[in-house]
Amino acid sequence: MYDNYPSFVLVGHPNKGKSSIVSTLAYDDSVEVSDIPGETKKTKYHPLKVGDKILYKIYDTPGFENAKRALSWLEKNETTSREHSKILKRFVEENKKSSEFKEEIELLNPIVDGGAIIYVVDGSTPYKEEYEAEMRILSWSGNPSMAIINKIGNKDYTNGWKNALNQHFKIVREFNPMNAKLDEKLKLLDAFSAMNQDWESSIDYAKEALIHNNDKMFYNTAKMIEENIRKSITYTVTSSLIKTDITDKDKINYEEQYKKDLIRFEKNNQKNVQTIWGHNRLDSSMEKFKFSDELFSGDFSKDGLIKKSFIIVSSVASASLAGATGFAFSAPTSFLDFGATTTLTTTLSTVGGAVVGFTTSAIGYNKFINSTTIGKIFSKKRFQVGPMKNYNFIFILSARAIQHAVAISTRSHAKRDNMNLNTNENSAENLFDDTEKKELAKISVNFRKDKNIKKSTEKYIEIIMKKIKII
Amino acid sequence: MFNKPKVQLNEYLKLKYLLNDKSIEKKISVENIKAYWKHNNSTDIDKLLQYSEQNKQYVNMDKIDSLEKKVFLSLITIMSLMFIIGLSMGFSLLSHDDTSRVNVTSFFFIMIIIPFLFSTVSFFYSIKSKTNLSKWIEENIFMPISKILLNSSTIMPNDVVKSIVFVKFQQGSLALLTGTILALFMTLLAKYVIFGWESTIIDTSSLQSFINFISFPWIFCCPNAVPSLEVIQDSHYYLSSNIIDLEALKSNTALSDSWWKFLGMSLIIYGFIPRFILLYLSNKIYHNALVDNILNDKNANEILLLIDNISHVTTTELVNEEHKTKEDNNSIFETNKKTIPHSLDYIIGWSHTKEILELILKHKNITASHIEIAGGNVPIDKEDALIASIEGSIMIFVDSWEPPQKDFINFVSSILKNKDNSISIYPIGMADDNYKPESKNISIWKNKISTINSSNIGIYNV
Repeated sequence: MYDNYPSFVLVGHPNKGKSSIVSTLAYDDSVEVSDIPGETKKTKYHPLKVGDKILYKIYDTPGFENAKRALSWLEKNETTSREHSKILKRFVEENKKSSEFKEEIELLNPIVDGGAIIYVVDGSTPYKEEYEAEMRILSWSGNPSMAIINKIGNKDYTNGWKNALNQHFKIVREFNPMNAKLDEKLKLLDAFSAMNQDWESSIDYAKEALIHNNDKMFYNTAKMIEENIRKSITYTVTSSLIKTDITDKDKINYEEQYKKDLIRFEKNNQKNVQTIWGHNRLDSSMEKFKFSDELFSGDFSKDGLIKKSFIIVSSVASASLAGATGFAFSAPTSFLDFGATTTLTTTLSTVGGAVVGFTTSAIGYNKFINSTTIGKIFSKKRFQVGPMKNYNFIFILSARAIQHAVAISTRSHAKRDNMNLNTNENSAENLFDDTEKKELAKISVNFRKDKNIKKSTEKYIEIIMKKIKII
Repeated sequence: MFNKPKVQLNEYLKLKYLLNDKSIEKKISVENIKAYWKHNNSTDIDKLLQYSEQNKQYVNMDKIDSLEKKVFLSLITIMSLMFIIGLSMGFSLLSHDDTSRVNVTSFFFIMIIIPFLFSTVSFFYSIKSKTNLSKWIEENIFMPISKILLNSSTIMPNDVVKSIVFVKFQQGSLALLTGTILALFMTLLAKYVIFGWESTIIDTSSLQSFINFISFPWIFCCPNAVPSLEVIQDSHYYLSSNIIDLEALKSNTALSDSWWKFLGMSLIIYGFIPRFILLYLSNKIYHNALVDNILNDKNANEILLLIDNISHVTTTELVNEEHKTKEDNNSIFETNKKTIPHSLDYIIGWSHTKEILELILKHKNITASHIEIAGGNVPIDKEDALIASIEGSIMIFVDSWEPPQKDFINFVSSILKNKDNSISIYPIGMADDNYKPESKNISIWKNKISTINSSNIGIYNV
């Protein structure tokens, strides 16, 4: 049924965004896209496949370099207009080894094999007569054709282009690969299928495949975020067996290690999300996770008032902790010697690993990092940081992951600049509605206690999907 | 979205048949793939059910229908049998004559407590992990029963058969209870039943405590259904050596009222409600057993893999090449930066009309001995003639936003073959920008010109 798939060959002047369009339609940032003209030297195709079945192929080609002389060759060999396609084929055959028409041969090859012509122009530069030669060469093939106006710059010469292109192409569409959403890509495919009725079923199928693929990418993204959240919540750093009480310096070191690992998990997760969306080359960065008192105070799942009151208490306390980057955590007491694992909430502030002070449970009733001494074998014990007990953690980490996922899923594959995300972790509190907040708090506990994992995972994925699927 | 899929016996059997019949070629047509996309977030079982639906033409429905019929017939048989047992036991336990009363304790223990315990124990047995005892029970009790009931084929493994049998037990138990309650209702409707009790080890106050304990769920909402101490005392002694004074007993209606209500409530609270719960749970276990059995099937995993491969959408081929970081080309090439010469021999407008070129020259206040146009629509022979005739210092006006192509490079290279010629390229911007070119475009021109590798060509430093 889909054996005769269509091929679409993007052709045009150099540096008019052909590769950008291909990159966007193929969800592939490995397509060489460059400001420098003539970067595409060889014709490459990108198939849309379902299993092994190809639904269509999109060809990225080098731009015309010597169109006027190529046209002159064709005109010299012209017999009747009926023979145009044959002469074009002859041109390709006879000039295969010619360096003069290297680019023309590359781009005409898939066209003489029957590929539909997609002529790409830049709508932000004015139309000039030199393009006529290119359009006339293409018309010699007799293949179905259309034109795409891609506005690369800020200026608008679209109308001038439309007037010129309408003389040569029945279908002229505007398309900006830099901000095209799925809907616009599907509309472009509709225009592709309008070139030839026989391609309709294949393109309709391709559209459904793209929609499915898009949904799947969102689902896989949410799943990836869920995996990282669960891993981060349950993660612990445990010391080797120690005989005496752990020193404050070591405690801090273990906590630093814990934080570093969580940051590393997040970074890896972001990389995986980028891979899901085909942004394999993207160099992205996000402001580092701030393990600050403010973020981990109060309870995002309830109301912000608790948080405000915490900040007041916290600021009074931290006034005495000059220059410190304090955070609340639980520390073991002397009861440990009797095998009990009672915890006393403290606030530690670190400057060069020094313990600055202890405060009462008023500050740290919402524990940030659960650090405690566990177990006792032959009067030796272990010190453990984690698992994360703070409710806000799931909100903050999820909000960051959502921000990153949205940026990635909406990013054009034609973009080649780096992506730097500034975060506002406080926004985590307002990102979720009341029901979601309650659910997240419950999920956080379930993850930590390894309870109802399947149900919690499904619920979490559902919440994340709702937040990231904005396109 | 995330509801666990429920597999019906019919679907299960079809799927098992498809998975295990080696004569059926496992393939999925392209037309059917879309159906799998609809289950994007669903579990694997949805995909397998979809596969089964799409390949139902290969299933021998006669076999499946016959097995289903057996399951259905066994259900009807068990339920009818149990209903009849419940009905007849109910009638016999509720029968009395002039010399006897209905023994409340016998009825209560035989028709309520024992079935309740039996159902509960069998339910817990069904979910408990395998022990030697359970294995023995399975082999010696359930399997023979299942063989009789289902004539179980190889398609259904023991786990599934066991769970079917347990569901049947719970359904049968419910049928027994229905028979009992119907017997109670019919007896109460047709006769005046006189209840009594007797026991060797239980005295009146102990029985009252026990009844109060049993009646706790309805003691506040339905106090009439809790026999009082007085009623318990009055109904003591099941048998009487003398003829019962029926008239006297009938006048004391509270005696019968509170006992039948008590038995009715007991049947509902300890009979129907737990039975329904157990039936619901057994059903769940049964459906889960069907799902688990399918998912653990080796062939099912093969099909799932096939589905995933065949329905996987790829938008591009994977490119495994190392991506080179682009260097800033501006720093690679050193291009001569020209200033406008005092006297120009030729001014050429590349891909311009003569009118536009003259306008630009007027705007820039530049002039030369010869003003020509090339590129664009200028015929090739005219261009070639220009190349042959041109000599001296030449300035070529180009549109900066249009990157230089091979035809331009060939054109200037041909001019430079005459070593006395020198060329200045003057990139101009768009009229909207007052002809001022963008630096990005100048760089592109510089880089391209540098590939000619000649000191006689350069870009005018705009």
